[in-house]
Amino acid sequence: MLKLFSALVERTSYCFSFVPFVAISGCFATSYAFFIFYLSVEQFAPETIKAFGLTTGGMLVLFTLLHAVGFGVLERAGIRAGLELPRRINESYRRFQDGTLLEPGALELLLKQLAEFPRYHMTVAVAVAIGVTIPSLGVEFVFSGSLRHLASGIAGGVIAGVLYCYLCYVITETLSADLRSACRRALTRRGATIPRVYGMGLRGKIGFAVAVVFFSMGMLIYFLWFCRASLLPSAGFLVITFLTVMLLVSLYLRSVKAAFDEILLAARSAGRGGGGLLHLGNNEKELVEFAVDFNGSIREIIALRRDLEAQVTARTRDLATKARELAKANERLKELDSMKSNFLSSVSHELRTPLTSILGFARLVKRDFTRAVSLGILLEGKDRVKAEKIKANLNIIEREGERLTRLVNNVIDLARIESGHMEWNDEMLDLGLCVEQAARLMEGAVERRADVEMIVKVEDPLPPVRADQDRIIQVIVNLLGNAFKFTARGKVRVTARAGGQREVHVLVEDTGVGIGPEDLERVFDRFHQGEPAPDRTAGNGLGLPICREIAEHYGGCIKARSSLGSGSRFMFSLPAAIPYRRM
Amino acid sequence: MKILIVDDEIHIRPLLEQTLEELGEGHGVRVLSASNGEEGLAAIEKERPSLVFLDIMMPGMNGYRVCRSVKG
Repeated sequence: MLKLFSALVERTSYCFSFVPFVAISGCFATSYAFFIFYLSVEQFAPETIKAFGLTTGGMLVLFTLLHAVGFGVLERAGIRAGLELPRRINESYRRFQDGTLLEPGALELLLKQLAEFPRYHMTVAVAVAIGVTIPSLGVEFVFSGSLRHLASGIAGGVIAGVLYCYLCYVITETLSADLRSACRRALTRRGATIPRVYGMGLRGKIGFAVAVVFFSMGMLIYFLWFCRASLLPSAGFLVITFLTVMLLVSLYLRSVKAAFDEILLAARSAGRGGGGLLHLGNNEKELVEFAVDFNGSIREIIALRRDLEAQVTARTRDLATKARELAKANERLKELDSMKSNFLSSVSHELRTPLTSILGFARLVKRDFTRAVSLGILLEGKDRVKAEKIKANLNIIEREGERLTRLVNNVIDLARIESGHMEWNDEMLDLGLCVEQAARLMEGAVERRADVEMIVKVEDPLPPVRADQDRIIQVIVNLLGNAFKFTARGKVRVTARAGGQREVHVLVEDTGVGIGPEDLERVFDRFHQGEPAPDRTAGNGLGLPICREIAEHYGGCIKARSSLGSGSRFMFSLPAAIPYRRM
Repeated sequence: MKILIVDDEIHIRPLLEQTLEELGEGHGVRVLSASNGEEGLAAIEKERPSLVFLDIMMPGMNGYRVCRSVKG
């Protein structure tokens, strides 16, 4: 920021450096001298030429001095004010960020300096007016020595001065309005530059035109009436004067614009970050308006910032609380998870151990008893009946023990799969081999059931699947077991085949009792059991749900198709590990 | 031939013992038992059995640790 400002100071210093001043003042002086020359052409004499030279030189010095003083003061004040405003804004912004509130009156000085802008402008206007008037008065007096000319000179100077001041006021007013709107836009972050400094708005143009007309009329009246000059030199003088004035004004405005651009920059930074308030310590209309706009925007920004900060603090607090809660919940979940895991393994251990004892001892007792009884073949009558009854009871214990073991195993399997504690030992598998292995495991059932024929058909080659062999065999054995259970006579057919390029299917079909539509819908539901099997052995209603969990774990599925009396068809499909193309 | 059963379950030990004895009848099988890991380890060192039935879930020294000690 300060760097920018030093650049600005350099630029404006250049604008107001001595050379252009001399040039401008020279133009002015020469034009005036020409006018005088034309005016006094009828009294042309060597003294006149000497007077002309003296007049020109004197006016040159006078103009230059006056302009230099006027603009020098203006420049210094302008730069001071221009430097001060952003510095103040930055300082207040820092204070705002520190949290110390801006004390009242902190920016009073700043505003005073801002107020000096138009004041210095007017100073320059007056200086220029005097600069125009005094040399002309001097020249009039030197040439004519008449008081009438002196009086007319004073009158002309006053008219010119007043109109020149009005011209300056119009320009300042236009500039000020543009500046206000630019600041407003800057503060609402829409970005702004001062758009009409070299050109003016409509109001400014009209004011300027009026000022020019009045100024010209005043000067013409002065020249034509009081000086009795001819029209052409008067008009020429006016044109040259205007051009000079315009040049001066544009130079002045260039420096003012540069300074205000910096103010704008500061205002924009204040708009972004908060910033301080301006204090109303003067009566300048434009500045009061500017300060009101500025303060309003800054207050809005401060309020917004406070609101935002409060919101951010509250949110941060909430978030921290939530994070703590989440961490706690996560901890708890982890605990629960390990508890669940421990629970599962201890339940399975605690349930299976006594079951094993019961079953084992029942089998031992049965064998011992059978052996003892067969050793004493001679048992007869009541004893024989009693022995048969004991054996039957032991059979019940054994059968029910086995059933309970199956149930416990299934429940634990299901719980493991659901809680994610099942260990899946995945490997590349040939489903055909799995089917064959499962079929071998069913050999006992096949032997017991002379009326049921098992047909195994494996398509070759099959695409491999990636899965846990034991689980896959568990599924197939389960399906086959069901098929045998519900088929009194006929066939149980198991087929492994490719299902398109991306799947492998295992079909288990039977010619058994079939499943009614109501039961078919719920066949994979837990603990759902349909009509009891012909052999009266009840399942536990968990076999198919486990099959489905396993199939779904591997992204496959299991489907049943059946109707009462026409057998069932279960299809278990798994995605192929490698897309397969039939040879 | 010596067979050692290491199991903390009071009913599983006799079940296994009886089953094994029955199975090994006439083959000169001697079934020994230990009720925890430490005892089992001591029995293995002392008796040098041909076969060990080792329970995994045991209080104190579990089956894995017993197995590791024996192998190490």
